[in-house]
Amino acid sequence: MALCMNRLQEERKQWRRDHPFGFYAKPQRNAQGVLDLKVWECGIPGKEKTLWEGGLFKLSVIFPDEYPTKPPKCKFVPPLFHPNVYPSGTVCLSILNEEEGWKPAITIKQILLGVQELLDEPNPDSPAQADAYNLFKKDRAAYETKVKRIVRDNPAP
Amino acid sequence: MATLENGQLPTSLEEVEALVIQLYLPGAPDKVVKTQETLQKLQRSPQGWQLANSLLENKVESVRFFGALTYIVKLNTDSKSLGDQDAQALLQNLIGWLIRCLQNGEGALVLRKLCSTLVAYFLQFSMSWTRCVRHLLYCLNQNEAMPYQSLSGAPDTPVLIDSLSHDKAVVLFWFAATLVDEVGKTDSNAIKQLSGTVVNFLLFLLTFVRHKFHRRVIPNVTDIVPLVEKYISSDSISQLNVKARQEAMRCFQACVSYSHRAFIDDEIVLDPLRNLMKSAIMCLVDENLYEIAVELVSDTLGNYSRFLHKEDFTLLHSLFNSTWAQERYQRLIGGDFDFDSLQFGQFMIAFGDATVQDLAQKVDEDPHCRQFLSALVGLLAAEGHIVNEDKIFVPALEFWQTFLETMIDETYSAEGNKNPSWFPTATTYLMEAAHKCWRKMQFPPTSEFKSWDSVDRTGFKDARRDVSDLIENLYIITGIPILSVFIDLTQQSLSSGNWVELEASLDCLANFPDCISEHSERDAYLNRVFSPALFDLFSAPNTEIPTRAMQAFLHLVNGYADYFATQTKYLPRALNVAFSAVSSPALVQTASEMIVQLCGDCRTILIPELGAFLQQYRNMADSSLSTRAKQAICQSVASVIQAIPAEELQVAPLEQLLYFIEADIEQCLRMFSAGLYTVVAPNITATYPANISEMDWQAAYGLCINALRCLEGVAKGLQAPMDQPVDLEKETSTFWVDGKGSVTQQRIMSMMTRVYDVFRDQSEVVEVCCHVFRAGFVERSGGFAFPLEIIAQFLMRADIHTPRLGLIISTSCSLLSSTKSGPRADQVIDALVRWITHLLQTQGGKLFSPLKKSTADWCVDPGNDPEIAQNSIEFLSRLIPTYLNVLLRHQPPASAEFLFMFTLKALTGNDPLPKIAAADFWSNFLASSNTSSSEQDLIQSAIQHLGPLLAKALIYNIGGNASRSELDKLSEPLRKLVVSQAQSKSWLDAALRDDAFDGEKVAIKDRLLFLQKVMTYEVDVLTLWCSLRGARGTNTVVREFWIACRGTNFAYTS
Repeated sequence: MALCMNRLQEERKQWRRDHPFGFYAKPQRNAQGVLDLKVWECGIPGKEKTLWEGGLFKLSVIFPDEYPTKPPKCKFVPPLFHPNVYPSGTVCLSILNEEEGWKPAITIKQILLGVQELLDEPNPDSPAQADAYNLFKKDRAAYETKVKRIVRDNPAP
Repeated sequence: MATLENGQLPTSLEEVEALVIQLYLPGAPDKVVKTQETLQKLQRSPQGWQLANSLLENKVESVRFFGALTYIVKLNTDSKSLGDQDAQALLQNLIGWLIRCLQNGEGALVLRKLCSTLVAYFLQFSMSWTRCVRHLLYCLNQNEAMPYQSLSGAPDTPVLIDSLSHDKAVVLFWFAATLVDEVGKTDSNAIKQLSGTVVNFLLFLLTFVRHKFHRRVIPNVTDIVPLVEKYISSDSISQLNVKARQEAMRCFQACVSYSHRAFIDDEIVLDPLRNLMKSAIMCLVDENLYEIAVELVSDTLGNYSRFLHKEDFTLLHSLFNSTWAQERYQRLIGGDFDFDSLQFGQFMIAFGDATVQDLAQKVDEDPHCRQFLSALVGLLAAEGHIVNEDKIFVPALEFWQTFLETMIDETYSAEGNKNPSWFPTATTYLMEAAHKCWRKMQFPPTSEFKSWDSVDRTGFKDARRDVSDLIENLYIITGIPILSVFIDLTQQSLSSGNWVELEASLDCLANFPDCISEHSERDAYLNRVFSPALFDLFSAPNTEIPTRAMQAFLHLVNGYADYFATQTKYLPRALNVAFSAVSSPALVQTASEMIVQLCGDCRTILIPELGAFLQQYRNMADSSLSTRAKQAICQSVASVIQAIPAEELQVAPLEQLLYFIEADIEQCLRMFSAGLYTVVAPNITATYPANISEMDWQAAYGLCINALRCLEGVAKGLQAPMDQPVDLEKETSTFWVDGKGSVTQQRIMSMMTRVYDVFRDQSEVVEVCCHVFRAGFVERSGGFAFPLEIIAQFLMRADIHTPRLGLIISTSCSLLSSTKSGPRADQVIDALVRWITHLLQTQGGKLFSPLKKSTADWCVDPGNDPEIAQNSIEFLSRLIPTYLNVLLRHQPPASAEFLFMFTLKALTGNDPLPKIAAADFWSNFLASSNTSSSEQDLIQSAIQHLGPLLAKALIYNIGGNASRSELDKLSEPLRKLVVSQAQSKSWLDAALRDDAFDGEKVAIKDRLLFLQKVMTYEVDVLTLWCSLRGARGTNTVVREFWIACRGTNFAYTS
């Protein structure tokens, strides 16, 4: 637990010193106004020159007590239309999977950049929601129209 | 160059020289690579040592450089071939070269490389060259490569230093700096290339190795200190050569950074180095040394501030008060953001960060602290726009965040909820900082902002977000009075008519909705925010309101929507502003959200305004309002209609709203001429018929989408609010189905059907129709809660050519879940099953004939259209809880068998979603065999018939053909099969022995062991009621078996 908290404090410092443009990430505040370091509220901008450009998508990053041994859970709020996002909003990404690509050295910055990358480069091998996955596979034009609509509904300020 | 082309090695020194020269000349990349490969072979050859020595004698500098490099390569790869004496000789030879090069006036390139060579030597032979720095100092002093043993007879270090020339001192600094750099680097580089569990072990080893080095390096660091001191201490400033002093400073910097490493690894504190810090700080004021010194001091403050003595901090404090610092500070905030000027700002911030506790806690007693905090506030007010010009704002803002957090931490640790006495003064600085931020966050004129590149624009907005964070956090310290600051600023900018300031003030006020939502004084404060003057300004006719300001206003109102629900005075005004903003493309999104939110939250209060709303909509309906806007307005009006308690009274306004939408539909259909339908077949798939121009078609289609989206809005608006209690005792009203409301329902259905018939080949049309239905599914009664058969009829209009067919089927899944069972329902659902069966059988264009008897012919490939396959299987799954009888009694029996076979085919297919759906289906179906369903005979007979095939399909997957992420899903039906069927063991046994099982990597014996484990775990479950252990157990066993079948070569890629 102490390890988790120390690491999160350090992550926070690092993020403040250096974070990619257009992103934000900060611990959430609970009802009493106390910072909850284990739940972060983040924003992921769509990458330039992709379908997702101009959008900003809210992501909750939830850290377990065993972090950084175990990876955090990333969840789009509200759930995002994307082949690799579960209907609950949870992101399916190898670096976030304890049994696959997760390593304790992965920083929050890398996670968020990874999720940003995923937006325009869905992984057709691990579908997480049928809607987006099927449209992506079957009717790319309709998929793109839908993404554009989502970007319009979630504009970067 | 024949040798090179043939891939042979050069045979003479001249050839090697030529190759080296060629390597450093510009050339084609592939040629360079080839040359490099050849030279590397030479370097690694046994003759490498000799080659290195010969190359160092060369006339050409790059060749001599390559000679030194070759020594490094040899030392790193072949030092084990050297005996003790060879090593000593090599050392003397290398030092000899260094001295000779110095005497020959060699340039920095080769000299530095020779220093690196000596460091490489040290890393290999540190045991026999323990005092390397002093030895090198001695040799340089003597101008001769003295044997290491003679060091004991050498004069004292101060004596040697006294007579050392500047050039030699520089070389010694290079050597020492490289030495400490390399020792710090060896480990981290090595670690970077590794991953996984090996790392931990290697880390341990490397730490051990590094600690060994620390002990050897430290005496040498101590040896370099007096030389560094000679060059950086203030006594000798004027007489000594600048170059040597800069190198001394760089060497010191490397040593400090190294000593941080030594502290982390081994808690080694290097006091002689610490004592030099004072001199280093004084070098700040020396222009020649400023850049190195400021980086050194800032880094030390930032990363290793405990390295500094208390006196160093005092010295820094007084330095900040000097004229030197004042001048630099003025330059910076005057808008000079050149590198050195910015460095000064970073230096101030680093000092602030390192002393933030003191600065806060001593703010009342220490004038230095107050002075310094004022200066840091001042950094938030440098000339120029943030990010684009002002580069110090963002780092300075970070300092203030840290400062604020220090205070927040204090509030949690404070005893008895009493804040420390220094809080009020510290808070005044934060308030001042917030005020400066408010000024700096104001947008530049639009044209100027647009002229920036995207990085600056994003950076500016990011900085604004950081400001918001600061202001929001400030609330924790100040409480609700912080609002007053921005309320005053709002009023001030209102009266001065300054839009840019107003935008910033409103944006700041929008930070607090969550903080104050429960506060007893919330309304008193917000009454001051939402003043008549504010509404007057934003609703003033004939005033051009800047988009950003309007956006900020809408955003603010949206944030405090619940305030308007209790303070209804301004609700109509707020809505009017939103209605007027909705026509602007830049504002439509925010304004639409606001209309939906406000009307949804305040629906009951707005009932009396309904007439005005409908009028408003009527006025706007003909305009060029965007579909998004119209949809939002429809939704908001509908939500007010929903609030009318009596259903009878909802009809008239709803009819009126529908009337407007219907007008669009009528116009849309008029665009299709009357003769059109006689020409074109009803199930056209062409984009548009020949006798209508593309433009007309587009216009008609636009109207169609518009109307459907509006219907979707109405359907959503009519949904009962989530937070209202549902009375389960109460009879569901039939007003809309059988009563007066049914006319309205029929009207809605007819509107949808009419456009659907014309545009059924358009995917968006299909999609929106499905959304409209889904909005009604959750309602117990209402205009959109259609009877089951009506929806089913509509859905079954779809055939294999309909776009988004998967969505239609998935809508019928939702329909199943929202329907109550009954004999009438069974009939409709049976029709749906027939329809789906037909869709599956006609997939891929060929009609499946159930008359063929052979099992192989039953298989329509689910891969033809995985989306349809997946949704159809999900539909079958949803039948199980309530309508299993419909599935089991489906006629003809061949058709029912087709459906079951289809799911099995999906289970062994390559498409993940149909496979997962099929696994779910089977696990639900097997579970139903344990219930007291009246259909048990039919269920058991189906399982008896299909069990062996299911076992085969599951084993096929678990035997290595599924992908890893599917295993948990596939374990589920396996477990259910084992638990529910006595024969499962023989079925699985047969599947594991089947020729089709491609498990050459796993022997029969191991396969049976797997089976035994699966059976045992499940028996455990039955006898011990320990389902969790059983579940986990089966999943683990399945996973292990799957890995074994995949073979040992399988590894995770990451």
